[in-house]
Amino acid sequence: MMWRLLPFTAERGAMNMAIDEAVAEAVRLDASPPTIRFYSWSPGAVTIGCFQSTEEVDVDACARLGVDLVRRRTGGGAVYHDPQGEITYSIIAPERLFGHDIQASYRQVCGHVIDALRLLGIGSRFRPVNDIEVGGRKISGSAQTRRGGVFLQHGTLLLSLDTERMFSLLRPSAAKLSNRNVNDILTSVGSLASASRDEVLEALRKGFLSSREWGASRLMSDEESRARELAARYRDDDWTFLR
Amino acid sequence: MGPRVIRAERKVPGGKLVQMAAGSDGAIQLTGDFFLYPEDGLAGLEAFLSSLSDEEQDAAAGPIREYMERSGMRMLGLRPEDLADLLAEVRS
Repeated sequence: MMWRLLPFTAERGAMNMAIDEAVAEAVRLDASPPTIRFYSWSPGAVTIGCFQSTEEVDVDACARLGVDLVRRRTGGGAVYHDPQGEITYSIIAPERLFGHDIQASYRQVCGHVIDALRLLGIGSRFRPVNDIEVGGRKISGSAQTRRGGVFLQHGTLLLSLDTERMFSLLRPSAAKLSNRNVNDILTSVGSLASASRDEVLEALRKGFLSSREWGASRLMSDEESRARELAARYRDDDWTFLR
Repeated sequence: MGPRVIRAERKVPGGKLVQMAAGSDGAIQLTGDFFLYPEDGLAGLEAFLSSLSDEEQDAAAGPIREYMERSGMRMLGLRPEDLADLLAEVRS
Protein backbone atom coordinates (compact mmCIF):
# COMPACT_ATOMS: atom_id res chain seq x y z
CA MET A 1 0.00 0.00 0.00
CA MET A 2 1.48 3.32 -1.11
CA TRP A 3 0.90 6.24 1.27
CA ARG A 4 0.91 9.93 0.44
CA LEU A 5 2.70 12.54 2.54
CA LEU A 6 1.32 16.04 2.09
CA PRO A 7 3.55 19.11 2.53
CA PHE A 8 3.60 20.87 5.89
CA THR A 9 1.29 23.87 5.84
CA ALA A 10 -0.08 26.45 8.28
CA GLU A 11 -3.76 27.21 7.73
CA ARG A 12 -6.72 28.76 9.47
CA GLY A 13 -8.64 26.46 11.78
CA ALA A 14 -11.61 25.91 9.51
CA MET A 15 -9.37 25.09 6.56
CA ASN A 16 -7.28 22.63 8.54
CA MET A 17 -10.38 20.68 9.53
CA ALA A 18 -11.80 20.99 6.02
CA ILE A 19 -8.63 19.55 4.45
CA ASP A 20 -8.83 16.54 6.75
CA GLU A 21 -12.44 15.98 5.76
CA ALA A 22 -11.84 16.53 2.05
CA VAL A 23 -9.01 14.00 2.07
CA ALA A 24 -11.23 11.55 3.95
CA GLU A 25 -13.89 11.93 1.27
CA ALA A 26 -11.33 11.35 -1.47
CA VAL A 27 -10.01 8.25 0.31
CA ARG A 28 -13.59 6.97 0.66
CA LEU A 29 -14.09 7.37 -3.08
CA ASP A 30 -10.75 5.64 -3.72
CA ALA A 31 -9.64 8.82 -5.49
CA SER A 32 -6.74 9.39 -3.10
CA PRO A 33 -4.30 7.06 -1.38
CA PRO A 34 -3.98 6.75 2.40
CA THR A 35 -2.61 10.08 3.51
CA ILE A 36 -0.51 11.57 6.28
CA ARG A 37 -0.15 15.28 6.84
CA PHE A 38 1.60 17.43 9.41
CA TYR A 39 0.42 20.97 9.86
CA SER A 40 0.15 24.08 11.97
CA TRP A 41 -2.38 26.83 12.65
CA SER A 42 -2.23 30.45 11.52
CA PRO A 43 -3.53 32.25 13.42
CA GLY A 44 -3.84 30.12 16.55
CA ALA A 45 -7.07 28.24 17.01
CA VAL A 46 -9.19 26.59 19.64
CA THR A 47 -10.83 23.41 18.50
CA ILE A 48 -13.58 21.69 20.45
CA GLY A 49 -14.80 18.14 20.23
CA CYS A 50 -17.95 17.43 18.28
CA PHE A 51 -19.88 16.58 21.48
CA GLN A 52 -18.64 19.52 23.52
CA SER A 53 -20.49 22.66 24.50
CA THR A 54 -18.99 26.00 23.48
CA GLU A 55 -19.28 26.85 27.18
CA GLU A 56 -15.89 25.12 27.39
CA VAL A 57 -14.39 28.12 25.56
CA ASP A 58 -14.23 31.84 26.24
CA VAL A 59 -15.71 32.84 22.90
CA ASP A 60 -15.22 36.56 23.51
CA ALA A 61 -11.55 36.02 24.34
CA CYS A 62 -11.08 34.09 21.08
CA ALA A 63 -12.53 37.01 19.13
CA ARG A 64 -10.54 39.58 21.09
CA LEU A 65 -7.25 37.73 20.62
CA GLY A 66 -7.84 36.83 16.99
CA VAL A 67 -7.96 33.10 17.69
CA ASP A 68 -10.14 30.92 15.48
CA LEU A 69 -12.79 28.75 17.11
CA VAL A 70 -13.66 25.55 15.28
CA ARG A 71 -15.77 22.54 16.15
CA ARG A 72 -14.07 19.32 15.03
CA ARG A 73 -15.86 16.34 13.55
CA THR A 74 -14.05 14.17 16.10
CA GLY A 75 -14.83 13.75 19.78
CA GLY A 76 -12.47 14.60 22.62
CA GLY A 77 -11.73 17.84 24.38
CA ALA A 78 -11.00 21.49 23.76
CA VAL A 79 -7.49 22.24 22.55
CA TYR A 80 -5.63 25.48 22.05
CA HIS A 81 -3.40 25.16 18.98
CA ASP A 82 -0.63 27.70 19.30
CA PRO A 83 0.90 28.76 15.96
CA GLN A 84 4.43 28.02 17.17
CA GLY A 85 3.74 25.66 20.02
CA GLU A 86 2.79 22.39 18.40
CA ILE A 87 2.78 20.20 15.34
CA THR A 88 -0.51 18.57 14.42
CA TYR A 89 -0.77 15.34 12.48
CA SER A 90 -3.55 13.62 10.57
CA ILE A 91 -3.58 10.06 9.32
CA ILE A 92 -6.41 9.16 6.97
CA ALA A 93 -6.89 5.72 5.43
CA PRO A 94 -9.41 3.01 4.65
CA GLU A 95 -10.74 1.71 7.98
CA ARG A 96 -9.77 -1.85 7.11
CA LEU A 97 -6.10 -0.93 7.53
CA PHE A 98 -6.67 -0.27 11.23
CA GLY A 99 -9.12 -2.98 12.25
CA HIS A 100 -12.25 -2.82 14.37
CA ASP A 101 -10.65 -2.28 17.76
CA ILE A 102 -10.73 1.48 18.35
CA GLN A 103 -8.56 1.50 21.45
CA ALA A 104 -5.94 -0.66 19.72
CA SER A 105 -5.84 1.72 16.77
CA TYR A 106 -5.31 4.72 19.06
CA ARG A 107 -2.39 2.83 20.57
CA GLN A 108 -1.05 2.00 17.10
CA VAL A 109 -1.11 5.56 15.79
CA CYS A 110 0.14 7.07 19.04
CA GLY A 111 2.99 4.55 18.74
CA HIS A 112 4.25 6.55 15.76
CA VAL A 113 4.48 9.67 17.92
CA ILE A 114 6.21 7.66 20.64
CA ASP A 115 8.68 6.41 18.02
CA ALA A 116 9.32 10.01 16.93
CA LEU A 117 9.94 11.10 20.52
CA ARG A 118 12.34 8.19 20.95
CA LEU A 119 14.30 9.41 17.94
CA LEU A 120 14.62 12.73 19.79
CA GLY A 121 15.90 10.91 22.87
CA ILE A 122 12.65 11.22 24.83
CA GLY A 123 10.94 8.32 26.52
CA SER A 124 7.16 8.46 26.47
CA ARG A 125 4.21 6.15 26.90
CA PHE A 126 0.68 5.76 25.62
CA ARG A 127 -1.97 6.70 28.17
CA PRO A 128 -5.40 5.34 27.25
CA VAL A 129 -7.76 6.50 25.93
CA ASN A 130 -6.01 8.89 23.55
CA ASP A 131 -2.98 10.56 25.11
CA ILE A 132 0.80 10.28 25.28
CA GLU A 133 2.62 11.26 28.42
CA VAL A 134 6.18 12.07 29.36
CA GLY A 135 7.04 11.79 33.00
CA GLY A 136 3.39 11.26 33.84
CA ARG A 137 2.20 14.38 32.06
CA LYS A 138 0.35 14.78 28.80
CA ILE A 139 2.35 15.94 25.83
CA SER A 140 0.14 14.68 23.01
CA GLY A 141 -3.59 14.21 22.56
CA SER A 142 -5.54 12.76 19.67
CA ALA A 143 -9.03 12.14 18.36
CA GLN A 144 -10.30 9.60 15.89
CA THR A 145 -13.36 9.19 13.73
CA ARG A 146 -14.49 6.40 11.46
CA ARG A 147 -17.08 7.35 8.89
CA GLY A 148 -18.04 5.80 5.60
CA GLY A 149 -15.33 3.16 5.94
CA VAL A 150 -12.60 5.76 6.40
CA PHE A 151 -10.34 6.05 9.43
CA LEU A 152 -9.15 9.52 10.44
CA GLN A 153 -7.05 10.33 13.47
CA HIS A 154 -5.62 13.73 14.18
CA GLY A 155 -3.52 14.73 17.13
CA THR A 156 -1.04 17.21 18.51
CA LEU A 157 2.54 17.12 19.72
CA LEU A 158 3.41 20.03 21.98
CA LEU A 159 6.62 21.94 21.43
CA SER A 160 5.93 24.81 23.81
CA LEU A 161 2.94 26.25 25.55
CA ASP A 162 1.72 29.76 26.22
CA THR A 163 -0.06 28.86 29.43
CA GLU A 164 -1.45 32.32 30.06
CA ARG A 165 -3.03 32.47 26.63
CA MET A 166 -4.38 28.93 26.87
CA PHE A 167 -6.07 29.60 30.19
CA SER A 168 -7.50 32.85 28.85
CA LEU A 169 -9.15 30.94 26.01
CA LEU A 170 -10.34 27.75 27.69
CA ARG A 171 -12.77 27.85 30.57
CA PRO A 172 -11.71 26.02 33.70
CA SER A 173 -13.64 22.80 33.10
CA ALA A 174 -11.93 22.49 29.74
CA ALA A 175 -8.58 23.73 30.91
CA LYS A 176 -8.35 21.14 33.63
CA LEU A 177 -8.68 18.48 30.96
CA SER A 178 -6.18 19.94 28.60
CA ASN A 179 -2.46 20.20 29.08
CA ARG A 180 -1.94 21.62 32.53
CA ASN A 181 1.49 21.39 34.05
CA VAL A 182 2.89 20.76 30.62
CA ASN A 183 5.39 23.57 31.01
CA ASP A 184 7.01 21.40 33.65
CA ILE A 185 7.42 18.72 31.04
CA LEU A 186 8.80 21.04 28.44
CA THR A 187 11.45 22.34 30.78
CA SER A 188 12.33 18.87 32.01
CA VAL A 189 12.37 17.30 28.55
CA GLY A 190 15.51 18.97 27.37
CA SER A 191 15.71 17.32 23.99
CA LEU A 192 12.27 18.41 22.89
CA ALA A 193 12.73 21.92 24.28
CA SER A 194 16.02 22.29 22.42
CA ALA A 195 14.93 20.57 19.20
CA SER A 196 13.89 22.81 16.36
CA ARG A 197 10.48 22.46 14.81
CA ASP A 198 12.13 21.02 11.69
CA GLU A 199 13.91 18.39 13.76
CA VAL A 200 10.67 17.39 15.48
CA LEU A 201 8.90 17.34 12.14
CA GLU A 202 11.56 15.10 10.65
CA ALA A 203 11.30 12.75 13.62
CA LEU A 204 7.52 12.61 13.19
CA ARG A 205 7.89 11.82 9.49
CA LYS A 206 10.19 8.95 10.33
CA GLY A 207 7.91 7.77 13.13
CA PHE A 208 4.87 7.65 10.88
CA LEU A 209 6.48 6.56 7.62
CA SER A 210 9.47 4.32 8.32
CA SER A 211 7.32 1.18 8.18
CA ARG A 212 5.34 2.32 5.15
CA GLU A 213 5.88 2.77 1.42
CA TRP A 214 5.21 6.40 0.71
CA GLY A 215 5.64 9.30 -1.65
CA ALA A 216 5.40 13.04 -1.19
CA SER A 217 2.73 14.85 -3.19
CA ARG A 218 0.26 17.68 -2.92
CA LEU A 219 -3.49 17.85 -2.50
CA MET A 220 -5.34 17.16 -5.74
CA SER A 221 -7.22 20.11 -7.18
CA ASP A 222 -10.52 18.36 -6.43
CA GLU A 223 -9.50 18.00 -2.81
CA GLU A 224 -8.49 21.66 -2.63
CA SER A 225 -11.76 22.90 -4.03
CA ARG A 226 -13.77 20.54 -1.82
CA ALA A 227 -11.78 21.72 1.21
CA ARG A 228 -12.68 25.33 0.42
CA GLU A 229 -16.37 24.33 0.32
CA LEU A 230 -16.13 22.44 3.59
CA ALA A 231 -14.26 25.28 5.28
CA ALA A 232 -17.36 27.44 4.88
CA ARG A 233 -19.29 24.92 6.95
CA TYR A 234 -16.59 24.83 9.63
CA ARG A 235 -16.81 28.64 9.82
CA ASP A 236 -20.60 28.60 10.12
CA ASP A 237 -21.96 29.52 13.56
CA ASP A 238 -24.69 26.88 13.18
CA TRP A 239 -21.95 24.25 13.25
CA THR A 240 -19.65 25.93 15.76
CA PHE A 241 -22.42 26.59 18.28
CA LEU A 242 -24.25 23.33 17.65
CA ARG A 243 -24.04 22.54 21.38
CA MET B 1 -37.27 32.94 33.32
CA GLY B 2 -36.50 30.08 30.91
CA PRO B 3 -37.54 26.46 31.17
CA ARG B 4 -36.00 24.56 34.08
CA VAL B 5 -32.97 22.49 33.13
CA ILE B 6 -31.29 20.07 35.53
CA ARG B 7 -27.60 19.44 34.88
CA ALA B 8 -25.14 16.91 36.17
CA GLU B 9 -21.56 16.17 35.26
CA ARG B 10 -18.83 13.79 36.23
CA LYS B 11 -15.28 12.96 35.38
CA VAL B 12 -15.44 9.28 34.60
CA PRO B 13 -12.66 6.70 35.09
CA GLY B 14 -10.08 7.44 32.43
CA GLY B 15 -10.55 11.18 32.81
CA LYS B 16 -13.32 12.06 30.38
CA LEU B 17 -15.84 14.71 31.38
CA VAL B 18 -19.50 13.91 30.68
CA GLN B 19 -22.30 16.39 31.18
CA MET B 20 -26.02 15.63 31.06
CA ALA B 21 -28.87 18.13 30.95
CA ALA B 22 -32.53 17.28 31.37
CA GLY B 23 -35.10 19.79 30.18
CA SER B 24 -38.49 20.28 31.79
CA ASP B 25 -39.94 18.25 28.92
CA GLY B 26 -37.69 15.32 29.85
CA ALA B 27 -35.37 15.76 26.87
CA ILE B 28 -31.81 14.68 27.61
CA GLN B 29 -28.75 16.34 26.11
CA LEU B 30 -25.23 14.95 26.44
CA THR B 31 -22.07 17.00 26.11
CA GLY B 32 -18.44 16.34 26.94
CA ASP B 33 -15.09 15.18 25.70
CA PHE B 34 -15.94 11.50 25.37
CA PHE B 35 -15.84 9.46 22.17
CA LEU B 36 -18.88 7.86 20.58
CA TYR B 37 -18.85 5.87 17.34
CA PRO B 38 -20.49 6.59 15.02
CA GLU B 39 -20.73 10.23 16.07
CA ASP B 40 -24.04 10.66 14.28
CA GLY B 41 -25.57 8.26 16.78
CA LEU B 42 -25.60 10.81 19.59
CA ALA B 43 -29.06 12.16 18.78
CA GLY B 44 -30.49 8.65 18.84
CA LEU B 45 -28.82 7.89 22.15
CA GLU B 46 -30.18 11.12 23.64
CA ALA B 47 -33.67 10.24 22.41
CA PHE B 48 -33.36 6.77 23.92
CA LEU B 49 -32.26 8.19 27.28
CA SER B 50 -35.14 10.66 27.15
CA SER B 51 -37.60 7.85 26.55
CA LEU B 52 -36.65 5.73 29.55
CA SER B 53 -39.41 5.48 32.12
CA ASP B 54 -38.86 6.19 35.81
CA GLU B 55 -38.83 2.45 36.50
CA GLU B 56 -36.26 1.80 33.78
CA GLN B 57 -34.06 4.60 35.06
CA ASP B 58 -33.49 2.71 38.31
CA ALA B 59 -31.46 0.14 36.40
CA ALA B 60 -30.70 1.99 33.21
CA ALA B 61 -27.21 0.65 32.55
CA GLY B 62 -28.55 -2.62 31.11
CA PRO B 63 -31.02 -1.01 28.69
CA ILE B 64 -28.38 1.53 27.63
CA ARG B 65 -25.90 -1.25 26.91
CA GLU B 66 -28.54 -3.14 24.93
CA TYR B 67 -29.39 0.00 22.97
CA MET B 68 -25.73 0.55 22.13
CA GLU B 69 -25.31 -3.03 20.94
CA ARG B 70 -28.53 -2.96 18.96
CA SER B 71 -27.49 0.30 17.30
CA GLY B 72 -23.93 -0.80 16.60
CA MET B 73 -22.62 2.08 18.68
CA ARG B 74 -19.43 2.10 20.70
CA MET B 75 -18.28 4.43 23.45
CA LEU B 76 -14.72 5.13 24.49
CA GLY B 77 -13.91 6.76 27.80
CA LEU B 78 -17.52 6.35 28.91
CA ARG B 79 -19.58 3.41 30.17
CA PRO B 80 -23.34 2.76 30.25
CA GLU B 81 -23.06 2.84 34.05
CA ASP B 82 -21.81 6.45 33.87
CA LEU B 83 -24.79 7.47 31.79
CA ALA B 84 -27.16 5.60 34.11
CA ASP B 85 -25.73 7.39 37.16
CA LEU B 86 -26.05 10.78 35.47
CA LEU B 87 -29.58 9.99 34.41
CA ALA B 88 -30.53 9.13 37.97
CA GLU B 89 -29.00 12.39 39.13
CA VAL B 90 -30.77 14.68 36.67
CA ARG B 91 -34.10 12.92 37.17
CA SER B 92 -33.97 12.72 40.95
